[in-house]
Amino acid sequence: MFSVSLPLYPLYAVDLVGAILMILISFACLEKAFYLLRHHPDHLLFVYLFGLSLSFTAFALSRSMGHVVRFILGWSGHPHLWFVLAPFSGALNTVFILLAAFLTFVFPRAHQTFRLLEEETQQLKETKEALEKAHDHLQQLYRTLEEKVEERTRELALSEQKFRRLFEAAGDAIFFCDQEGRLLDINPAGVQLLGFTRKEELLGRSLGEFFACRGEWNRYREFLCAEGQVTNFETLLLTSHGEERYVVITANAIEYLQGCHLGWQGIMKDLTRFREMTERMIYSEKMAALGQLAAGVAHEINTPLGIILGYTQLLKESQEEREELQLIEDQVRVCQRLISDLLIFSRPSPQAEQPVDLKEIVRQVLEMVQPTYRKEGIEINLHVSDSPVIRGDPDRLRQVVLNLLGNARDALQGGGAIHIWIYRLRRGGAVLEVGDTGPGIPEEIREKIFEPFFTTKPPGQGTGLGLFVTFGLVKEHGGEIEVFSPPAEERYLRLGIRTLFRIIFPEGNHVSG
Amino acid sequence: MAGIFYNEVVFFIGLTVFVILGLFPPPAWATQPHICPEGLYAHLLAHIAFGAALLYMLYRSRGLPGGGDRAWLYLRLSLVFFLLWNFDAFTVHLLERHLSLNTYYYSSALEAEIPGPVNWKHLLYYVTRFDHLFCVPAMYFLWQSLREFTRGKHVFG
Repeated sequence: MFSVSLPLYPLYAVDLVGAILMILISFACLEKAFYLLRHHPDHLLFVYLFGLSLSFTAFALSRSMGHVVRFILGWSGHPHLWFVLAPFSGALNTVFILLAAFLTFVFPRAHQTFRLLEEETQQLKETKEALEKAHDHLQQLYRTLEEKVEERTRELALSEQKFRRLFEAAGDAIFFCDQEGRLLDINPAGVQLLGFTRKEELLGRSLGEFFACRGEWNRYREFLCAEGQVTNFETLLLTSHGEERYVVITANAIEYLQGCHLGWQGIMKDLTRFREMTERMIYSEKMAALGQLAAGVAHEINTPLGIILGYTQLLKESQEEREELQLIEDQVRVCQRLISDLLIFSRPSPQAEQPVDLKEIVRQVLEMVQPTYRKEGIEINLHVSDSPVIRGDPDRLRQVVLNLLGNARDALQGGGAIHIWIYRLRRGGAVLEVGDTGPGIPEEIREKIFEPFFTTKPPGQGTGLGLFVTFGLVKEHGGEIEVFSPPAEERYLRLGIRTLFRIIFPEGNHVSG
Repeated sequence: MAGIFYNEVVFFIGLTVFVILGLFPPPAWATQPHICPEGLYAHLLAHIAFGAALLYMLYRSRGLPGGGDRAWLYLRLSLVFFLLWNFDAFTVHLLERHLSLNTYYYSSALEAEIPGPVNWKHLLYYVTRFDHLFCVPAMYFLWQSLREFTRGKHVFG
């Protein structure tokens, strides 16, 4: 216990000054908080600080004004009035303290919630931006893809067009088959090669149907299946008309990714004409070599034969054995005729080449032989559609016609008909054809008829030089000679022609007939 | 989770104080400033809630963005002074009730005094009555904090 009294004036002074300062500073705080709130209305901290400042300002007003009013009432002699006002002041103080407490409690939780919301909003924003970027990227990719697809489609169309044109216009046959060898597609050259006019007639038919030899077809398939491809497979095909086509096939298997064969595709090259030409060339070379050999031998024999003939004639005048010497002379003359024929190849042409009317040559020969042939029951028919002019030696050309007619006459033992055609080819060239209605030439000797000394006549009746000489003379004039027995064309068969010789001369100046 | 746990602790403490005050009511003197004790209890509870809120805010303010800035330093100082003032005011209210004193109602005259002899409670009451020494600095630091915030040199929370 202390026996002192405690003066209250220091307390009153501090309360009075403190109350005034609280009011002033609280308003200053409210002004700053309002400024922050106005400039950052969506900022939660400043909302809280404004609320706190507002609560403290109200609290300061309520509490500090209480102090001031109490002093005024006390000094003015009405302290009892303070008893009326004090509960209001106290209640307001309580309310504002609670308000400040409430705001202070709520702010951290609200802040945390707002932060989470902001983070989620940010995440959503980032996700949205990422999605927009991805969308843009996808759109760009889609656009790029669309452009690329269009570009590739264009390229594909161009490529397809290019290959389709190549396929359609190719001179060689291009074909596609399924696993069984059935034709799925074939180009026009292939259709023509196999003797058809429309592709639809061919599709679905097996390529093997056209192989001349079934064994070849099986070999081709086995090889293709085993190796996956065949290169330059040579074989003989039969067209729908039965014509032979010598072809070379290069094909390869179309495979799945797994390696299973889906079918074949290939190219067929028709070598028929090429082969014929090659054979003809080989034959021509052979014949030329034989001709030169024969001519060489004939030339060497001719001189001794002349000596033998001369001495034989001298002996005939002085010797008794005239019959034997006559026989020797006859045989020597036979030899000289043979040699004369053979020397055609080595002798230079007696006169220069000149334009010759082929029809006139034939007419001259016919005038000479027709009476004899008629007596033997042979009818000669001349078919002239044009009068081509060639360049050549008229005597030798007459010899050619005479030899062909003689050959036909030999074939027509017992009568028949000989037909002669003279015409011009559209592509140029004069054609002379001589056909007869005889028995025809057997296939096995067809390739030998132009060889020297080859004859089907009995010994002593034929020299075997007629067609050989004809062949040589035609070649000498730059022409070609072929034999058909029987000919394929209907117009010849209708007339009963079994053997046809066709000579094609290069054309000279044309003389209208 | 820590924040939630802390809230529950504060609420539990507040409830405990409320129950203690309710179960052991102080005697009602004639000179008490609040006519009815409910008003005083409500006022004391407001002080308790305010103190708890200040403690909670001080605890959480470290973790808030920009919590280390100058503005936040001032704000925390303000909260500390308000906390001291709150404790001081709470003590005054309890002593007033205990000593049946109310300096406001003695007199407004400059010569007014707390008559002797006085004990330590009277002395404590006398000292704690200078509560403006806490609340004025608290308001000042709040103003300083707001001023720093208006300068914009902070990170917004």
